[in-house]
Amino acid sequence: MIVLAHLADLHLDTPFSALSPSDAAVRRQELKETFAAAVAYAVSTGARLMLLCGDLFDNEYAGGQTAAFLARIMGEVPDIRFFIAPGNHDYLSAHSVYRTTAFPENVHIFGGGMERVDIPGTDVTVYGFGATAPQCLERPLSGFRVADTGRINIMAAHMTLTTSPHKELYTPVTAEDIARSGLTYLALGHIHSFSGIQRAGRTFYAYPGCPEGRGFDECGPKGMIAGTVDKTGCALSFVPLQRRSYETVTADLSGVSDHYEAKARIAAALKELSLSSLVRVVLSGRVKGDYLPEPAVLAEACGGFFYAEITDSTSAGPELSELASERTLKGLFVRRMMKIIEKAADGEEKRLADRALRFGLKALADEEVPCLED
Amino acid sequence: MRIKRLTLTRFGKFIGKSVEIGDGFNVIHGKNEAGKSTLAAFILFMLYGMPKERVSKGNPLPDRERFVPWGEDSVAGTMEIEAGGRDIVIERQYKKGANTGAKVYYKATGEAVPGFEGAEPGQVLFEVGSQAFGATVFIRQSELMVEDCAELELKLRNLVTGAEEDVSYANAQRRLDTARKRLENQRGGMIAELSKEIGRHRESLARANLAMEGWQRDNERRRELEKERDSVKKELEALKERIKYVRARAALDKLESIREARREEKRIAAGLADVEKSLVAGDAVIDGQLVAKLRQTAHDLRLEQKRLEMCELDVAQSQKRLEQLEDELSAFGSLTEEAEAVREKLKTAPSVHSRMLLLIGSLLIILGLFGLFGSFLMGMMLETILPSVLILVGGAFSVSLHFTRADQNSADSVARRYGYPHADKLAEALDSIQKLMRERDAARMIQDEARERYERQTAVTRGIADELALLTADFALPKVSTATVELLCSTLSEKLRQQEFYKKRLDAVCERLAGLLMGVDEQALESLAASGAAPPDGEAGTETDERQAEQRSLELESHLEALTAELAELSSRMDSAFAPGQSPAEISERLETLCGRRSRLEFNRDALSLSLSVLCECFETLQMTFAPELNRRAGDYFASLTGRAGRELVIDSRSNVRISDGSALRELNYFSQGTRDAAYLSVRLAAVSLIFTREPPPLVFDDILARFDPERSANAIRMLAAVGGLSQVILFTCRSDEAKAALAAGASVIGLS
Repeated sequence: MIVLAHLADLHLDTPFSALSPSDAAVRRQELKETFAAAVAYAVSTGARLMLLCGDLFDNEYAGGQTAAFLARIMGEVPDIRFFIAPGNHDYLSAHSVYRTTAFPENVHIFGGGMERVDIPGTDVTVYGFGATAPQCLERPLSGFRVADTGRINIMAAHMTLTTSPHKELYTPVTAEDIARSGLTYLALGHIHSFSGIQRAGRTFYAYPGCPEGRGFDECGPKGMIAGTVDKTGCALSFVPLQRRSYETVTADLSGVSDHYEAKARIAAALKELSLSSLVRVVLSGRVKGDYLPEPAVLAEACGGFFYAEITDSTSAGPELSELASERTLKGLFVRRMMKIIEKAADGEEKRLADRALRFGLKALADEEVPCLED
Repeated sequence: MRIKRLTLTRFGKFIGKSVEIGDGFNVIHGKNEAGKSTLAAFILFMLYGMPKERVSKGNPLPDRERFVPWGEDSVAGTMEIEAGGRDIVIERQYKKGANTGAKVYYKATGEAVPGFEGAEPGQVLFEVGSQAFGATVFIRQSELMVEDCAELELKLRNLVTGAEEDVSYANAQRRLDTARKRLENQRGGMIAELSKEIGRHRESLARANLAMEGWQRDNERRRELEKERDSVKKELEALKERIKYVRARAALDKLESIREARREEKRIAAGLADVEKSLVAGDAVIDGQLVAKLRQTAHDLRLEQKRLEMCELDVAQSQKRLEQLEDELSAFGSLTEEAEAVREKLKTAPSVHSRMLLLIGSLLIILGLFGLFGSFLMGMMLETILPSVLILVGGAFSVSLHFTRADQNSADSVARRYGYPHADKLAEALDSIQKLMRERDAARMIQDEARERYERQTAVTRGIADELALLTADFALPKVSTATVELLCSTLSEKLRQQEFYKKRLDAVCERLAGLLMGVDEQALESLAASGAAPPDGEAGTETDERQAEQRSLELESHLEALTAELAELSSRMDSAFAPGQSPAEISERLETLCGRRSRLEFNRDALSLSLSVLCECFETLQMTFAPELNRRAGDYFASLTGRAGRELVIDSRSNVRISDGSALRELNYFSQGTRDAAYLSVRLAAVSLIFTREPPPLVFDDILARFDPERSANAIRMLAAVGGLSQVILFTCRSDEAKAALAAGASVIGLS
């Protein structure tokens, strides 16, 4: 039996350009601290292996200082063997930080081909391979078999699990490949959300997801996988790690006709969230009449959060249908716009027409048409 | 549609108030605060419910709060209307927080009027929203009281172009266009500016990528330098270990030397102490002087003893000689005593020639012997043997003759008397006796001297012996003798020599120890000795090794310093290769953000463009369909209101309202206020008639004449009466004269007490 920790897709040195420079620096530092926390957790559980399955760095030009920091953290726990499988973001280029940084002896970085490392004093073998380019369409696990099925065979790799291996995916792998491999546990990286502990044949496999979200497409709990693996199976579980979460909430502005009420709805939607979060508020619903939410004005309702942005997905209220019956310029305008909305081919066209409608009504009401940057 | 009765169950100040309104021109008269505005608001409430927003621009309170009676939490009422030829009742109630819908039913049957479910009665009746209704149906004082022609023209133009005097197509178009230009302008437009920023970012990215190439080269170089530095450090470390080891060994050796020196010092000191302990005799410390004295004394003693012995020997010898001489003399017997006498005798005695015979005979014997031997040798036996034998016989004969004739002489006889063969012998004996007697006398003298010397020597010897005994009193010698003293002296000398030896050794050791300890911190030395581990190659270093290692170490440190400096410079250059936020990845991400932002602005621009284009289309449509009809109807209304032939209201192609006086088309300011009012009302009525195609609503004029002068007021009342012939008109007024005038013009006057 072996105690291990499985982490992937940390993407250290992510620019976080959507944030202010100071906040971006904070987030980058927090990524490093998350890694340190992951290692500390591994130490607390008595882990002997830590599998880092790709995209440890955001790009091949990651800073040497960050790499030196990692090397120092890993060097401080010589009892843990670290296995790094470079991914498509931090692939093993000639200038890769993996080549230019002196990592301690307890760190093994997989190269381009399939490698096998037997852990001395145990019956554990770790297989792995690293990316040498940002794109790879080969299937390294196709036809792969472990050398000794009597051992605990673990693999660390950055791959895309798919049912369609012929699509242009990064290093595709199928459940059949996994089932035939003879591995005990396949530690994967590349997908940024926890997959749950899955099984194909007698092989267990999982994506831990990324330990820290970096965008609003990475909401929800983030962390790593830890536990034990033995010849008969595994007892692994998800360990949350993230210091900040990305949250997308919806504020229903149905029937809202002014910024005051809109702010109240937004505040209510954000009530349960931690101020340390990065939040995206999606304004939805059919506002009253031609009310046009202005994110720059409504941002006040998101005060206190580490980062907040507002996206307007509201549409004009049903009251406008009353206007449509008027034999006035306004009425005619509303009628025409509503027809355009109705005939819109997709959501984006609909949204455009809805926005045009509300802009027009604002103008017809002799109000300033706001400059929206949502 | 016309309003027949208003029943304010609870609304504003009215509780259970009912107002009957007739067809045509109606005047509701009441002083200020009588409730005229309340009635107007009630009409709106019944048709469109309680609005959230403020109805009256001049009122800070929304109607929902203004018109709920004090002490009540709701408003309620009914309005009876005639629409579509039937009497309909609209019943409504409003409670704060619960805006309930209206009940609309036929008055006669109580049945719900179809089509009104879930909708506002006004919307169903007029197909117009509350805002448009309010803006169109209600004509307020401020709206009619437009003195400024430009403003009036604007209102009229708005009516013409949009059917609402508060809605200006031109303004709307301008606002949309301004917003679009704000986004779209090539100079200063947000999209253009953003595109420039994106362009700058792309340039920055290109530069950053270029800088990245340099950074990569630097990174490779840094890697090489770091490898080299690590190698140098490793070698330096090994050298330092070696030096440390050598120094530790040296320190250890030195410590050993010090310890050994100390041990030796201790040993020597102990030895010296033992020796010095043994060099104490009683209270005196034995030194070289004493030993020398002892030795000298012993030597003297020995010398004196020897001399004493010599004296004793002399005495013995002299005694012996004396005795010998006495014996020798005694050997001569009596001759000794008679020697002188005998001598005298001999002097007188003859000499003998028998000795000649003896001599010849001896020679013959000898000769004979030679001849005998020679004949044997030469074989001449016969020729020589006989002569030889003859010679021999002859010699023998002579000899015997000598001896037989000896005693015949007197000297000889004397001699023979005394036992001597002849006188010579006697003489010899006498000589001998004489000699012996002289010798004996001398010997006696010598003996006496010797005895005397002996005595003296004995005294001297005793003195020295006493002195020696004194000197050796503390030494507990078993026997004081020169031998023992000499032995003692030897022993003492040996000890003194040892002492001297120990002292010298001790001095030497102390000097060596001092030399070893000069400038040495023993504790530090011990630490240094303890710190040195064995070198990796197991070879013990020598001093030469240490020097060479130090030399090499200096070289390596210098090289390391240079490497470190180069690394620092390189790292500094690499760290400053990109300003914060200027790495390719950061610029790329920012670029993405900017492009996203631009997309959103372009979206808004496209929305504005769409809005503009549709608005323009609508305007053109209205121009084609609405404006001509409005023009016609407004002209008709104008003609009715003014009753003046030759004047025609015209709306030109630019939607400006003009009046033709028969000769020319003139602007409104050419004409009197009354004509302008008529033009306004005409266009307004024409718009109302076009907007409210389904059911023409009543026109509500809220205290519009308050600031009119009497003439204008009279004209206005006349016009309103004329409008009353076309549509239900309700005039709210607080002036009695207006009420009277209206009454005179045929209006129904309702008083609010």
